[in-house]
Amino acid sequence: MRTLVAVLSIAALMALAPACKKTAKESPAATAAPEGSAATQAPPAPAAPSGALTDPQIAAIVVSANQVDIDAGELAIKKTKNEEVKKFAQRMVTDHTAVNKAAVELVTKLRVTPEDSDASRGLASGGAEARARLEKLEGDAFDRAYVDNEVAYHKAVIGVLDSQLIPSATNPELKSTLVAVKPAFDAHLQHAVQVQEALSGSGSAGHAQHGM
Amino acid sequence: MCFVMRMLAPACLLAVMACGSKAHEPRTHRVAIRAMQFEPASLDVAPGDVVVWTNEDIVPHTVTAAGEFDSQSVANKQEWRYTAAKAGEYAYGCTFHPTMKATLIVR
Repeated sequence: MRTLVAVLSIAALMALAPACKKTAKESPAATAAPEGSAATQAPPAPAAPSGALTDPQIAAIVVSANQVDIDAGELAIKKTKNEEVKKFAQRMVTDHTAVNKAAVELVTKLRVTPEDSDASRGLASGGAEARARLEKLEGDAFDRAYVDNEVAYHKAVIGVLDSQLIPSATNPELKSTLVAVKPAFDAHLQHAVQVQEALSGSGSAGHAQHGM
Repeated sequence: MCFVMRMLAPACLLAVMACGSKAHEPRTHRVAIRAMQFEPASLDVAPGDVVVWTNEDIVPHTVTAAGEFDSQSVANKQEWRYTAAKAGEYAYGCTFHPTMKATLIVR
């Protein structure tokens, strides 16, 4: 549990922290699991292993993780002048809102009451602290910090989904929902990397086109 | 032999006509939008055929080929239909998620 709290807290912090130093191009496939995660542990068992997260705790973590990214996206929509960054942020808000809505509908149907844990609390507080730091940045510095941290955040959350949330979920519907949303996180990560590359390449991703 | 050919000719003609008319009868094809992918990723259809995309993902998607067709936002469990009009190979994707790409071939 302590590892999970650490990873999620780092994810939340990194999601909004003013990190603009790291511009290295990273392959989403190669970076799906953060360092130190237990991504290679045994496949999911029918029952939660001893010490694993409970379904109510998983539900709360999912809601918190999505909310952190919704909050970051809303801040970016308000602050950025870059069209590509704005479009990306709007997508994060829309998609993570949809995932949260589905999660809430599911737990309501399953009569599971989300239960806070150190992990979900760490996410929420880490997100709030990091958001406060990001609020102070402007212009290109803000854009780079926001997008860099979206890359880091999605990598961390994908790692936690793989190593902790999916293996620990005991309710089949909850588990299948987590499996179903993971490709969206993968696609978000690839999208974030594209925007990150455009920002580091030209200094302005606002001219980049999706081509569709 | 000539007798046989004379007897078979109308049947062959009918068969050809039947095949011809069947080829032009519009068919409906289905594409699932699932796990952030179009399935199948490549689809062959004939002019006049209808293609129905169904969004099975939680998040919304579009079905968009620049300058050709655009579904706008398709929500979870919603469908979008398109009647293939002219021959060609159309690369399309989701404008919301640039990693999602597929091809519609009309011929």
